[in-house]
Amino acid sequence: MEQLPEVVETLLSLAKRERGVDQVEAYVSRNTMTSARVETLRPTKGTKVGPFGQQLMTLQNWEASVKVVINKAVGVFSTNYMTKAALQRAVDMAVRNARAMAPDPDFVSLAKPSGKTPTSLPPDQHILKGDAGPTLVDQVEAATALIDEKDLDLAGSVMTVAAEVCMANTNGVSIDGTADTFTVAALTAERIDGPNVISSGVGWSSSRKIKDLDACIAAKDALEWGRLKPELKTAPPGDYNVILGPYAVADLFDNMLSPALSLDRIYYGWSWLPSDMTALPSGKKVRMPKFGGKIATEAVTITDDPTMKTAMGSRTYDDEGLPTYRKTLIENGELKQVLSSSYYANLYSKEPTASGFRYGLRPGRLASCEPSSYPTNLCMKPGDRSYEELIEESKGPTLVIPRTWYTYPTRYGGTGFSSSNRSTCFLIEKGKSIPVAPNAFKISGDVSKFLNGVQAVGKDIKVATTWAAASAFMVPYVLSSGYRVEEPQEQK
Amino acid sequence: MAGKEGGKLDIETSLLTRAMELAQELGAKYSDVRVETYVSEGAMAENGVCKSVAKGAGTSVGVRALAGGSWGFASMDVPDEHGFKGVLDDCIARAVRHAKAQSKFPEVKLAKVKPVRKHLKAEFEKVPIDLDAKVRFVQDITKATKSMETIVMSLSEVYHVETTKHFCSTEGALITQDILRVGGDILCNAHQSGQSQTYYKPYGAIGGWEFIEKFDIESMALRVANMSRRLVTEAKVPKSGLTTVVTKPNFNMLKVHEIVGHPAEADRVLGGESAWAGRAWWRELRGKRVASEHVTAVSDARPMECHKGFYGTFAYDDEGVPAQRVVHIQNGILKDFLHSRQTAALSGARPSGAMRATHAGLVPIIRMTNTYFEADKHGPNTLEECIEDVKEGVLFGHQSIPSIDSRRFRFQISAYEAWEIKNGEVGDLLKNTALMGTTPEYLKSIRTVGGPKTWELFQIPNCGKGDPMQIMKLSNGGPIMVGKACVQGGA
Repeated sequence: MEQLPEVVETLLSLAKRERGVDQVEAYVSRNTMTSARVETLRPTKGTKVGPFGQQLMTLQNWEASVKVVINKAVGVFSTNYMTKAALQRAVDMAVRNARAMAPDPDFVSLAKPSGKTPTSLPPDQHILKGDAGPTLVDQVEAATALIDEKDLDLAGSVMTVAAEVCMANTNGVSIDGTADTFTVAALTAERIDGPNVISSGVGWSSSRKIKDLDACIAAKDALEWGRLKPELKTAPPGDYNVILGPYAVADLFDNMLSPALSLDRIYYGWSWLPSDMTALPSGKKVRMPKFGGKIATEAVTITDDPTMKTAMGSRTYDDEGLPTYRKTLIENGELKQVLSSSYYANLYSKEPTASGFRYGLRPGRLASCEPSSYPTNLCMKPGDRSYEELIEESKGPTLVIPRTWYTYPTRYGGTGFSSSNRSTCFLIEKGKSIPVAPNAFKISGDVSKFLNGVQAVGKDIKVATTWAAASAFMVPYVLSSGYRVEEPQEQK
Repeated sequence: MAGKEGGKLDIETSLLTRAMELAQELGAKYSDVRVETYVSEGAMAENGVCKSVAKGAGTSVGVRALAGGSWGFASMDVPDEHGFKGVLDDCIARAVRHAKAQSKFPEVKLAKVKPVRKHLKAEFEKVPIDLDAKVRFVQDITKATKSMETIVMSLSEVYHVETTKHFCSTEGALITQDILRVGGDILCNAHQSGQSQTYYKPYGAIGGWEFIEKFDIESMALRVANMSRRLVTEAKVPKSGLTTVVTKPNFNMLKVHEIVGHPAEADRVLGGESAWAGRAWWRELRGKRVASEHVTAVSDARPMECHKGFYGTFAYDDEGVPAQRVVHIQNGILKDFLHSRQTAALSGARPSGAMRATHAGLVPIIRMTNTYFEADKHGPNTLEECIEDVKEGVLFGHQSIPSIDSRRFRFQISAYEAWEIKNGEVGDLLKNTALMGTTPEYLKSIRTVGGPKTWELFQIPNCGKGDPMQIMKLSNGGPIMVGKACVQGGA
């Protein structure tokens, strides 16, 4: 049984026949990822192998799941077996699971039709068929040809992902078949001096269609910083103004902002957004974010836009079958909205934002994962400053950081974070930009202070993503404050 | 066949041998196939109410092929028992085609290993409890913890997974490993006066329900809830600065993971992971001092008594290489790295039995096993003895979140719980506390390593590495250690 609609129809009709079943959702996904990996290896002192195409791979997986609701108890079973007998077994097990549970007092309903019209986002048929391998090898070859010095290394990957989804529930929500495709080139260029990496840069290129992918753009971006020979091995410890490059803004947003803007995380207490414990009409006390409250300066406006025609994070539907749409999350510094799946939106008596996605341990969208809220293309409204104007505008000690790394909270639900300058960065002194080596220091920061310290926003938007992310970030350079350079070697 | 019931598939291993012949016919110089078939069952509860019961089953095939000097990899899920051979053949053809597509690049060589033919059965004493009992188990735990003052959210999950892994290679290896894994987690969130604190503890084992009984999850849950409550009601933020830091085994698990285990992976050392997981600062320092003479650190996957049930314990890795002990640091001197067959051939080393994939659908990469600091045979065997000469310092407990640079040189690791130490005694509870240092200076500052009675190993359920990202289960730990580093108090 290879046709996805047939699987959904079978699961739905089998489950509806079961005694006592109030609601049913059937879901099936098929994902295909093709990736060409480039590496440069230095096995012994002074030797270099590559850069070369280390590996070309295609991963294909499919999963079906059935969710049954019996007296507010929700039972689920997922499988990658697609025979009718296996699907009957899946239904039997889901029913058995629901009957093993007491009613969930927080469950209201599976997703209901939203009345919104889906955006047309045609997938790339080339990616969908999983035959992008030769193109990716060509892209790797073209990118590696840009490495023209013995001391330069190139590594990373060029990949395509296709996710096909079909689903339906007994409330009338259905996707006859949707397919999203995207492609990403993520490359790092580094200058090596003996055992040390003395300069490092990263570049990304992404799109929904392979014809728009150019790994050379990513390689050239990476080489812009990777080629440098930084004058400084570190920056003096202390508090700095920062001009974060788009990749560093994406890293900060991915790890510190997006999770905080998710209603399920707010519910569980893992969001730093200001909130009160509030009683819902049901009497249940939950954390309620302070909508309309200031969480950033007026320069900050952030939207989630799944409808962009060429952006890698665009999705026609979420994984609960709801057509996606553009949402303003922060407007001129005020919190307007948060992302939600239907379970938590219903619990809070709000409309779901069509942000329930099934992401998990394999590329694509996975039936075995429950929907959780994620952004698609998180966009920061550009300002009107050029890069040079941002530098001019910054008063006092300033660092320009193109890329950060491991920007993780110090505790779950806290605003504090720790990070590192993954790329070569720049110390601004008397208007002069002095390169500083990568991994030169630890950074201590606070996301709330950063957002409330945004002084100016760049006018040029760049598309960035992060390691293993399915989301894209359309972000400019941002001038703010509240970054502290820590030098743990002070212990000397 | 079990697959008809929607469970594990019985795999005819003769099909795997035949598939390897096909790979050679298509031009592969080397190929291996992994097949993994599993069933799982779990329940999750929130505040005394079961929120989800989930079961799953599936089978995946993954094929690596070396042809024309490069790697090709292809994986696919199996739609049903009749479709298995078709999936296998498709994966073989695609993997070989992918390898050949890159033939102009330098040739990959593999270190030699002796092919093994074995079937290893799962070892356990008690079968997992049934679904109804799992539901009651998590409901009872979260009901008890939610009833504690200030606790607003209590979550707990419990599950078991039965897996059979097959490995077959063109060199004649044919290994089947049956694995039963049990596990779960507990999370409590306390809230008071606008402040929240979360405490999370995962648990698990390779084995049967006897481990869950041994862990005494009910008591563990109450400790999690109580610590969450204390963090929000009585803990204070520490003063930042350089001081004596005493680290317990449940903090050392993340410390050894981040500053010894990851940089000991040869793919990082050689630069292959530089775009993703990063590099290793000690690339050319083998034979040199990188830590004090008290520090010895190893990765040891062998099935010894002290490794029993731990995620890093296995018989053969996903290249068919036997589990072994690799010494990374011996009395402060940098020794050996974790190697795949490929990095071993490139470096003139031997493969370490450390190539593992999260499952057959993903390509194997170099992974830690049971990676830990060893105890000092003559070291103090109690916390009291370890801290008796510490006038002022901080004691770090259960690890929380790491942030480390891509060379693994500068690091910060936070803890859910920490305590002041004053005049050799444990004092007030601290919150939002992190340890920050540079790896060599911190490791060289270690002046006391606890004795065998302070040594403990813990499970890490979620180590991320690779592209596409893979989440691996492994084990880390060590004895109590006393050194010097910066303490950070945060928001």
